[in-house]
Amino acid sequence: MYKKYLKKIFFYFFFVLFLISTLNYIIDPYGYQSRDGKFVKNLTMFNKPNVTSARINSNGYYYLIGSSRMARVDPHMIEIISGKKTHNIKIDGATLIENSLLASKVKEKGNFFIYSFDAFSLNKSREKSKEINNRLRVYEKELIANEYWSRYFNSDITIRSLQHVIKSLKGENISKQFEEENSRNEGFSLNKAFNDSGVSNNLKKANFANFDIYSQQSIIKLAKLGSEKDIFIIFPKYLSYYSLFSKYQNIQSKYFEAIRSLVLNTESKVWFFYGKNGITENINNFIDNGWHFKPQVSNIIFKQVFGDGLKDAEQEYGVLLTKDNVDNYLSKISIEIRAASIDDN
Amino acid sequence: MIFSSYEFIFIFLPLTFCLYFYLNKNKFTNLATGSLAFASLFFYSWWNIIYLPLILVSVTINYLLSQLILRSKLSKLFLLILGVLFNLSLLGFFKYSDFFLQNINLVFDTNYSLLNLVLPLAISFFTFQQIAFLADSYKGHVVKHTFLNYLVFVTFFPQLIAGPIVHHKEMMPQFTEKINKTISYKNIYLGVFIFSIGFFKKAVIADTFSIWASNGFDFMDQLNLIEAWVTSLSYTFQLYFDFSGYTDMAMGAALLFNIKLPINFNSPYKSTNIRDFWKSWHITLSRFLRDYIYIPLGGNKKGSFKMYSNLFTTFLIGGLWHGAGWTFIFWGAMHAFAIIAHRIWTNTGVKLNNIISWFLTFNFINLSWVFFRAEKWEDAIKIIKGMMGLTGVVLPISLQNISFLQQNKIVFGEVFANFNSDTEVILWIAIAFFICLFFKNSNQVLIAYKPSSKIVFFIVLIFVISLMHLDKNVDFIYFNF
Repeated sequence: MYKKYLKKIFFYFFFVLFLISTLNYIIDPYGYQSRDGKFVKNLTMFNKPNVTSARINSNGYYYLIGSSRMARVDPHMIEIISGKKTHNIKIDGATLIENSLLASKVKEKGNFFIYSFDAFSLNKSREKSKEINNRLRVYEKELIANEYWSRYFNSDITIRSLQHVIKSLKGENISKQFEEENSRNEGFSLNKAFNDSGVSNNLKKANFANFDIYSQQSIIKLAKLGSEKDIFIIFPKYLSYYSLFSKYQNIQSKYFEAIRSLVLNTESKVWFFYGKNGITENINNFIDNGWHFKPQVSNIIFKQVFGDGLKDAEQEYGVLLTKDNVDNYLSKISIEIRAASIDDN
Repeated sequence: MIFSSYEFIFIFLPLTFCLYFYLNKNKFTNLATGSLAFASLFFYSWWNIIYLPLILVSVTINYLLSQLILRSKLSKLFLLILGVLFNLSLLGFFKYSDFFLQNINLVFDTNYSLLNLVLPLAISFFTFQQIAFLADSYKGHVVKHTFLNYLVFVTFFPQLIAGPIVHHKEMMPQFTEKINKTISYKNIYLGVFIFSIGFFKKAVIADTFSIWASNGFDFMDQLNLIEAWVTSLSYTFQLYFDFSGYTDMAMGAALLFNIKLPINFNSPYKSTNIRDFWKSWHITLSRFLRDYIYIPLGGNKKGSFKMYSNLFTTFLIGGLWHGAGWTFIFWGAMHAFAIIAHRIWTNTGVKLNNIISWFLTFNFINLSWVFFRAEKWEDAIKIIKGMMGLTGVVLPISLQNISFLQQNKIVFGEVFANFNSDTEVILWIAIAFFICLFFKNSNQVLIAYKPSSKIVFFIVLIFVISLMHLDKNVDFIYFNF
């Protein structure tokens, strides 16, 4: 009797295992195999160490590394522009240590990164947060473990697969997440910018509080990781933030010094979208109080990066920093920002 | 490797099982026992092979000492003392030397550098197990065994890392019993059943609570009243489901080899007094502390005062056994006071209503786990201040129109603002309470268990769900002890 029931247990178990794994493999909601026809939210929005690990071990060429700004970059769009397989492995609020870890893993696999060199990621003070430390430990563990077993068999991917099926049956647009963000029109509040960013050092937990930049060695180490085919990008924020960075805690000068170190020590291209221009002056290009650019801006950025040309209004937007122009360009931008007034709608 | 891992479930366990019974079937019984010992040592070395020589040295010396006690003409008491000193020195050196040095530095204002030793896995468990074996050899309660049998008794992988703390009397005969050397489909079935329950407790329930518990302890400075209670209750349930889940998995894995491990949990959170709690929580540790510390100290034979001091000493040692820190010692002292208070109360003959008794007992246990979990004394105090409402009370906005809640100290807003969580945790706590208070425990289920298609469906369901939750990467809590 027990033998019969045991046989049933093993049969049903392996049957269900096979069924769920096959479903998840075919639907592939996180785009491990292909980003085509996948919901953009699943390709960009989630911070999951196991998904990051699976993507790094998948068939990518470019890997998008960065913080929440990188969440507004559709890897499928990069694939179309560059012709290279691309995965998004951003971590919201990432630190330099976390991003460097991801970059080194990407390089270990012989692939290339597109790295968002954010100012607040360079704030070493954020390392004191237990939450960030715990997260780093989990990422380290997951990247070492590289659990192939569970890639297509875990509760999370199963739920995403089922959601994918339901949404597809309902005819939901795969770009819904980005379209919603593109259609949001929000103003800018200086008070909110103060409170959320902590530039004026008024909050313990905020991203820019106690702005203490990582050592030059850490930045040079990251810079040296990059080859000619890797890309660093300094993404845009709403212009008023630049004024705040120039006014408080010497954030801008520390950040520019880090950018200078990066440019002088890397073989990679460093694209610079910071400063006063048609994109950063217009709050309608941003959401979340000017903190994040809209996904539509990422299209403009990457067309520029991959040399797909820009329309008239967007000319002058984005500069390729080189060892020769970095000092002059950063000085020029500093002067422009000093002259700009702070908007407070 | 841990029980709740793919390597253990799909490779290690099936391979060990097949090899063991294949060798037994072909009459290579010693080789079969050897394969079990080898597999157990492999399992132990999986984390870090540097631990392996230590356990081998410990097992060999203890075995030799027990043989000397049984056979030699040397003073048995001397050999026992030597053995106990050896075991305690090993444990003391690896587990307590830094704690000792820290306190020396603090008291005498010295600056001795800490050794920063890596705590060998399961050292607290195999030390206690072997001290018990030596003590029983001294008392003449041990029959002669081969080294291989002794090695398997100490290192048998289902119980090696986090118990139950097994006794040689209940284990060693099982390893030599002939009937246990053939495959028993009934035991495999029961083993799979109880393993699945433990797996679910660990992977689904405990690991879910662990996120909230860790979150709360990470943000202990900012917790409001509800967040602080959620933090403490999350840890209370995490610990129970983690440890009892581990025990169930250990029992299930052992049953595959026809070995019955002793019960370690018996619905402890149903207890209506602290004495009952200790009869149903980590039962094998309580048994060890009673038989090898409390009773040798004199137990309750030498008057009330001596009994209370024996209880106090036993619980302090119990606290220290769990970890080298003042928070663990304080936790042990809290339980000692509670046990003594309960004895005194019982002597008065006054009986409390069961619900009130349960409420007091559960809240005491919940409070004591805060000290058990906290890394530092100040951390525990911060959580307790939060639980007392001293760091602010935030209630949902939906309650702001209720007149008696409109006091100065109450703020209406986002209850879990600092917690990085949502109200889902409240639902989980309610479910956990319900399971702990109204469900039969694994042992009760196992006794009343009759195989059926419904049970097959249940096993497959919980096993698959548990397997799908394996991506959380959380170790068993009791591995640290």
